[in-house]
Amino acid sequence: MHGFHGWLLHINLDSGQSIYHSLEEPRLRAFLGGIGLGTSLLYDYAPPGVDPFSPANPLIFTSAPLVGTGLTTTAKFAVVTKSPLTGFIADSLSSSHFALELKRVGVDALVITGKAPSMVYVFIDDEKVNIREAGHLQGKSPGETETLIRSELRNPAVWVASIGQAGENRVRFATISNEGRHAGRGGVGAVMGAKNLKAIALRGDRDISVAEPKNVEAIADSLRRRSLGSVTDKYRSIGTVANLSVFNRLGALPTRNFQQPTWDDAEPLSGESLTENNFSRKHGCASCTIRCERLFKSRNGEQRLEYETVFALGPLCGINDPACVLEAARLGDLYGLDTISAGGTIAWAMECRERGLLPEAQEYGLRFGRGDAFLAALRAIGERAGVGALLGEGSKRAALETGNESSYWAMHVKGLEMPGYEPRSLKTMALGLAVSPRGACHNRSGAYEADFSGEVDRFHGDGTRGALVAASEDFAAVLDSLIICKFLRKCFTEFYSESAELLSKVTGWSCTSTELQRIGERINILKRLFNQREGWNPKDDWLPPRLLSETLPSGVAQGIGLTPAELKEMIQGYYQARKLHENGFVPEKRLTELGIANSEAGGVSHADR
Amino acid sequence: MENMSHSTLRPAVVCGALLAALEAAEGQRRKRKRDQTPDAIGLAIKRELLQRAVQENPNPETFEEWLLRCAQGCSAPESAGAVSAMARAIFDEWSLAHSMNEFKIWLDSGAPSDDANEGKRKHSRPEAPESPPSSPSAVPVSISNPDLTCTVELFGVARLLARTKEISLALPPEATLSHVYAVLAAKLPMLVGRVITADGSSLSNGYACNVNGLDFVRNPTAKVSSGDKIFILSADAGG
Repeated sequence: MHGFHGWLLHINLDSGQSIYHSLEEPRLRAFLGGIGLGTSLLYDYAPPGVDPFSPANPLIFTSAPLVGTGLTTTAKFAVVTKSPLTGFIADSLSSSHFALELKRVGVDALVITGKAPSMVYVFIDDEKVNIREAGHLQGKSPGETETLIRSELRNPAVWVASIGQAGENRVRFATISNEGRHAGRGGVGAVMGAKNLKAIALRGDRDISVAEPKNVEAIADSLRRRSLGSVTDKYRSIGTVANLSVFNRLGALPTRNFQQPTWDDAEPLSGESLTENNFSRKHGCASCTIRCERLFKSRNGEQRLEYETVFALGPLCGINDPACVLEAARLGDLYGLDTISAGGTIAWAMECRERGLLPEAQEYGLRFGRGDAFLAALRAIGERAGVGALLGEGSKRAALETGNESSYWAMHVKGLEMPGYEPRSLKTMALGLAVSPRGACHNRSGAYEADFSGEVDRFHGDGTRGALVAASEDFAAVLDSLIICKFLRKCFTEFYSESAELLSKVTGWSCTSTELQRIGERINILKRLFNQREGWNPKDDWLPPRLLSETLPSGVAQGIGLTPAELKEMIQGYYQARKLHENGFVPEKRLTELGIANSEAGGVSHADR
Repeated sequence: MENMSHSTLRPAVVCGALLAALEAAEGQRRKRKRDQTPDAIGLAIKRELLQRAVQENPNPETFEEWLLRCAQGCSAPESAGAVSAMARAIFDEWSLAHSMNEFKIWLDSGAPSDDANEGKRKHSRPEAPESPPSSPSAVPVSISNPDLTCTVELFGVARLLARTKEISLALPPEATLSHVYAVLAAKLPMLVGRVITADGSSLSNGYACNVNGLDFVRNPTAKVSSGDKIFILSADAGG
């Protein structure tokens, strides 16, 4: 088999047993790798209704066919599990050397179930699996953990993904971190912590086989060249932090817990200002020519910042001091926290405190703009101490516990806190956020692209947006399963046909663009099917009440709102485009059409390796 | 140069039109209150180069080389830099002329000028075909009393390159976004080739234009209204 190894490694931490299973080609062809393969395995491995913190909840790491082929931006892996934050699917991506090493250990997927009796880490040395005691790593940051494990194994070529204190403490939005990057959303780190699994260390020697090496190399060359063109200029020159000033001017920068879409005081946090005043150096993932990562000078040296981190730890909490945001981002890395959910939950607490609803926040002095209190709250979350015990649950659960209508200010979808795109002034994005299987998510669709394209009226939503969002989700699913970084997406002239050709040259299959589109659809329908099995109901595809009852008070979108009827119309359009029942449930017929209910999806079989 | 098609404009034709626009603008220049000496020196060099091009009628394929020889053959060493700069400006304007329909139409209609016709037309707004040329330098030269002003706000790479957040532009009546890009290219040449295409007629791939924070506009022939705020930003909002 080319592009894949055809193996899945299942490690059971209850028994300490590791078993290799063969992964059949039909499943790989039906779901590819990354998010697609992870979704397919989650559906099979997770017992229906499993508690996310139960040992039975599988924590799944997947590789993908393009990983390790030398194609720019493809050094990525996916982590898929049932989210402790939403109770639905959590699928996160991270990147760089750990991704390449996962492929080199010779598996396409790593499934971890069970719970170790005490803190351990798993070392996969080519084929051999060692489960090692990790008491000495408890409380260490992911960065420290990586260094200590490499030192302990006396091998600098070992690559490590680990959790920080937040994961150990089951903060519901804890991340899994590697090389300063994070599989960030949905609390995958908390699931790892619940298994008493501190880290996974990898070292492999397996070759990565491709069907037509010369042709793959030629395509890789072409993509490398294209990746250095003007369409990626933003990412190569400033990084994603460039979004902040643009969003602010367009009335799309959520500020003070979505009270306003613009902020007059945001300038110090703009990508332009950060670049001029704080820039330290560029960095990139392994195998990437774009190198979007930006490190900025901070009190503690250097700190990586992305737009979402700046938005959530800055304007969303009314903070515009770059030093404070840089320190908050450092704490996020240190504890292993999803900065979007951390910022979103603290912003909720700030608003509750200002409205006299959250006595627990009183002693911290939490208010919008109070940097010291904000940093103290972040530490408390990482350590699950004081107010952090409540906030570590995420805004949805914290609001339910707090009561007194505090849910009104909890800005989440399905429990996942909102990213930095104001839905009232980006109506296609509003729909994308409402219906996304993993909750308020800006990555599993690029629904905002329609709003920024000029092809739709971004201030007005209607049923036609449904098809746009569905197509965008399918596109993202294919990207996330091949895996290709989204920042490369505009370098393709015709994405589906070019990717089909690429996949064909890598795997030796004869893929068509239609087949790839169908794979995207299949993955998204299976995600919905998983959620449905875990208790999804139509009210979960909805937006927070604030967004549906308050109009925007400032900026170019002043006076614009989003009505429930408008959202409902868009959602109906989406269900139609997806060929779902009127209430959003997946009809049996769709499963048959997409080959989910039959053998096309294949399966796993126990086999000796 | 090797990419020029059979429809390549003769340098002598374009230079003749530029010469006419230069002469027409001369009267306006003299009326300005500030010291005009540097302008006069620069324009004199430009005029001489344009006149030579009209007389010698160099081939399009060798025009760049011809201009280079003019600069290298400058008899006064202290003027060599200025001649080089003007030669480069003329070459850019000639290149730009190929990608801009308005410029060709303007040439075909005899290169009419607001300045030349001043006093005859006064407040009447010329029709689109009679609009001043879209060449980066030709537009400001020929617009002494612009009917239209707009503000361009720069974001991201554009802001960092230009080292400014916004710039006010004077535009001809009935100006389009193409005019905006051309004038912007002339005023902020560091954007050319990166944010604005080398010919100055449109934005590079990866960049987008939003008007007044409301509409993303792709069509470079879209009309601009006085007072518009035009944002130049990355076309990719991924974060």
